[in-house]
Amino acid sequence: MKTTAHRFIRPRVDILSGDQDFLIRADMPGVGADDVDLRVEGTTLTLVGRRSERPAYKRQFIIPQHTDVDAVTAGLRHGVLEVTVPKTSASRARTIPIAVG
Amino acid sequence: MLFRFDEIDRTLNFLEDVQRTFDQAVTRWGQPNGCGPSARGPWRVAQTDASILASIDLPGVRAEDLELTLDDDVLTIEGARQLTPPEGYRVQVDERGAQTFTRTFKAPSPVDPDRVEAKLADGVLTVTLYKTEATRPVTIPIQTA
Repeated sequence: MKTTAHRFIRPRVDILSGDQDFLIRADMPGVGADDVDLRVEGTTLTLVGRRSERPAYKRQFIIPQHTDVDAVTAGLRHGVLEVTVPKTSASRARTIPIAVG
Repeated sequence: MLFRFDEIDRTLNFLEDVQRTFDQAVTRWGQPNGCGPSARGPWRVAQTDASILASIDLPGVRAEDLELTLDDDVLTIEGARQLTPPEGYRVQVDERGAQTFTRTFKAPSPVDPDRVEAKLADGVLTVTLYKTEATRPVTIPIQTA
């Protein structure tokens, strides 16, 4: 029996912000490395993870400004999808040196 | 210039409003949103005449971080997963929950304590328990006259 394409589960995520990039960690147990689909359309990032015999995971995000959507990378480990969204220089926090007179 | 998240959030609010018209599922970055359980999900159980298969989602858990014990017909799993942000990162959205967990599973019938198999793959643990001989179903032959 073929499952309906519209039934998705929203994976739980953590979003971490670093100096150079954002990290999105999404719990997708049961999803193998070949079953992940990552897509950027305009400002929308879509994560899909398919599983055998169980509903697929899907979640969408609006990507913040000052990020490099073309350089998004991802890896899957122990059922957790980790997506790296690099920040462009404009969005990186900078420490401003204070001159001591 | 310092990167201000609250300002970006306001921008995103606007973006989301635009987006919402064609996709209700879009999440605003930085805003946690209710979704399905993961590490606290249910056991899924399947049975054959000889065995019981119990599986559970444990995303992010490595085999070395997991301990399984079987006491009579109660299987206990204890473990931890690495949720600590890497050095220099701060948490913006935190939905994935607890670092440590304990879950138990009570087998529906007596099982052989010396024969337990466990497999962890893609964040899913599957434990195979074998029913003791006495509890396996017996086919009763029907005599015909």
